[in-house]
Amino acid sequence: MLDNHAALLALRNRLLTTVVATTGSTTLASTVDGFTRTTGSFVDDGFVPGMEVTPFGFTDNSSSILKTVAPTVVTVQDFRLEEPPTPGVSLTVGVPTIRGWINKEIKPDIGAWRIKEMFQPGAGRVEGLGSFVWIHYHPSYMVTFHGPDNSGALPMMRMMDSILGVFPPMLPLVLAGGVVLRVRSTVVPFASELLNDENGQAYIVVTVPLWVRTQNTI
Amino acid sequence: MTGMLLDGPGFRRALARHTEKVNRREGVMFRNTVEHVERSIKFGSETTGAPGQPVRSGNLLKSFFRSGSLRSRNVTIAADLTKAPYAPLIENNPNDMQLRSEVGGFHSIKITKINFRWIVRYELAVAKALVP
Repeated sequence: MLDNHAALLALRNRLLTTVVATTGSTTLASTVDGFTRTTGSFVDDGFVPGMEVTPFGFTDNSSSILKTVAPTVVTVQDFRLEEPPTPGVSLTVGVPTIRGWINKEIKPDIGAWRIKEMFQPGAGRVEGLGSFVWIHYHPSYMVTFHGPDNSGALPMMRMMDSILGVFPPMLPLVLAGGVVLRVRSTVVPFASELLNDENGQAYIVVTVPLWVRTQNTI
Repeated sequence: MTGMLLDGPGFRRALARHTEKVNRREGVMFRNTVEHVERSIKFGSETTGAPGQPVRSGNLLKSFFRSGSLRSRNVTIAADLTKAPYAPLIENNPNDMQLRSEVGGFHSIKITKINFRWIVRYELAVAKALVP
């Protein structure tokens, strides 16, 4: 039988590999209202205003939302600790840091990014006759993310494309016991249009259709 | 010797009968598939696993409509948001609303969409039985 929790964890771990934009390991400085660099370009690295960046390698590694983006300077919406140019640090936009995993409550904040997941085990069907026949399941993994209010379509669309990018059709996710969960190709992952929730905050739902085959136990 | 002998006119008649049967099956299958999709979205389906809408009457159910035509094999099923502006919230449940209804649930359109293939397989078997 399908271990649904193992499937959920495999999907969640895959989701967490999403990278929307990153500087890679480089030399960056932190100012009271942003970050600066002398080589490379934040614009070329894919950063846009409204994205939530997470620093790595600084003293203050708390996440911030980008206010403006220029090639060598980005500003953020909150105050940060000033830090001198430091090599081997990075800024990355990944899955929002406020995460409502299944059965974990999060508080909606229209000024912040947040993400939640839903796993639908799906209907199953026996294929064949006799003992130990194959059972085919079509589960689905749904990811809903909200962007900060009035941040425009671009950061939302970039997040959507990046999440779709980590779940390409036919992607295999190997679970314990050799069971392989695959992203379906007859219906490939798809996203909703950009919608507004009851608070007026924009959100998008990404649906990942899946297929898995397990053997009956009798 | 066993077998079947078909002359030219006989073969044409057999082919015409087969074509007619396939066309009739296709018509039955398309009509039933449309109805199955609509039923799955509105009331749920064990074939797709969709729970259906969390109501059994009212504006939300009335908001779903068909456009296009069965004859041209081109049908769209959608919700009219002027009748039920909250339909996307029921479909997507973005903020984890609690389900208070004893029937139905969320995400029925998406679940129906991703399991459409199984609807087609089911309705193909039905069409084969109805048009032997």
